[in-house]
Amino acid sequence: MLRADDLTFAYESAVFILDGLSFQLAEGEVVSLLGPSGCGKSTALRLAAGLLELTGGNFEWQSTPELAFVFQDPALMPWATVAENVQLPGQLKGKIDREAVHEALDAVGLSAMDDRFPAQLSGGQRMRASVARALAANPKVLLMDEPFAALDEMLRFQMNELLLDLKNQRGLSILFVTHSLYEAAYLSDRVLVMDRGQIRGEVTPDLDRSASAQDQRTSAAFTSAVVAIGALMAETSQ
Amino acid sequence: MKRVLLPMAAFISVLMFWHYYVTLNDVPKFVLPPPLSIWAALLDNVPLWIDASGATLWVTLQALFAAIVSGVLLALTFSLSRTFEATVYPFAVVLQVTPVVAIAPLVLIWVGIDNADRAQVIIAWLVAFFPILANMSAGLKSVDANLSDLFKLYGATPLQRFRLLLWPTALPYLLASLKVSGGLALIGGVVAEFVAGSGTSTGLAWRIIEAGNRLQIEKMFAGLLLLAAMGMLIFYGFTLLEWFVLKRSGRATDR
Repeated sequence: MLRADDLTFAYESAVFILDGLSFQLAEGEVVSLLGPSGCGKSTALRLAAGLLELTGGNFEWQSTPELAFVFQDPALMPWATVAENVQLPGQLKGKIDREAVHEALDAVGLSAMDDRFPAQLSGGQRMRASVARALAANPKVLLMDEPFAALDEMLRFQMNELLLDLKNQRGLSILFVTHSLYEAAYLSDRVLVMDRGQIRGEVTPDLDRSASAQDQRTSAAFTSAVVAIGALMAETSQ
Repeated sequence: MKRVLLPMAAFISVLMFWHYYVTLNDVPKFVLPPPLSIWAALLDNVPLWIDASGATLWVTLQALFAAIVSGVLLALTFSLSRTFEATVYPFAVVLQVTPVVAIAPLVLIWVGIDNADRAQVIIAWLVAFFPILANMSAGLKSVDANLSDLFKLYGATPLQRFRLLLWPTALPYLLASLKVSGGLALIGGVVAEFVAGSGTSTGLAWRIIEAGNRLQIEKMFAGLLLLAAMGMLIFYGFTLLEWFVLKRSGRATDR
């Protein structure tokens, strides 16, 4: 799906934020980027979205990617209703797909609130709206920058499960940036631990996806994945 | 309710104190007339006051309209080019900080004393323009960075960017500036009329000067009262507009 080769990136100052970063994202795969603050994980995501220009290296996409981006902040337009926010990608591309908007709202459980304004929603509902907006773009690849970091733990669990359901239903590939070892271990097929603009190591959680969420979170595979990620994190420069 | 009743009660108390102070101390009418004779001066000359208020209001609205159009357009140009902003902004500041009373005679000379009304509009525009420019600029700069990225990601055209992102973001700033600029436009118009003195001006300010020259102090007060009322009308009119527009877009705070 996506192959990142020897990426480098620096702002005008000579400090390299990415320094030879390489990774791959296969179709239908969830890959998490984890690492200390300033390790370049968010930068890598923005580069993949084309929001920043690479200094060196390149991204190789299998086909023209249909991308959607979800930020840590819901980034909803406060003057627009939930439905208007969700239809934004279509509106900007010149064709609003009512069906896609409806399905996206349905998928995140916000159908009944489509005429509300963001200020009338709870934090979790706003994040759902933000995810719905990404889904309404009918993406193949979802780029997510710490999307659930501001939510409380219970809500975060729910959103994680929702995300995995959506991924399975729609066959999404997800590149996911997070600070949470647990979130990374639960969501990901592969966890890439980054440090100083490079990959430090990789952990493959290998959870039994046919088991319940509760069972997955208490399984030995989950625990050993968290431990392995933690060990890699301890070696980083934070 | 409290917000209406409290100022009303204070106003009535002041009027009563004023009335008794003036009558009990035999204060001469040409120093401080009692409130009732001001009221009478108002009622005795209704057509004159309507004409004068209309003239002043018309000047204010023209100037405000010009200020909105020019302020918004210039702010938009600023948002497109930082270089242009850096070049032009200091001149806008110069216009703002130079006392308008000092500029007014110059403007009058340029447009000709016979065109006092035109000078009024220009001077009122000069003072009303800056808050709109400054607020609109700030509004355009306050665009959510993530939303801005999203517009880029989904390939928004410059027009979509303006219509769907920049304008709605800046709108509350613009509406707030109108409350300030509305009052300033009125002040500018009045200042211009004062500077013009006699001649072609027919607004409230001129009626006040005229009454002063004739020592009709109650008429001066009547004119002042109307100016104050007009200022309040403009301010609360824009407050209402702001509330209405923001409510419609889900952003009104309960007041």
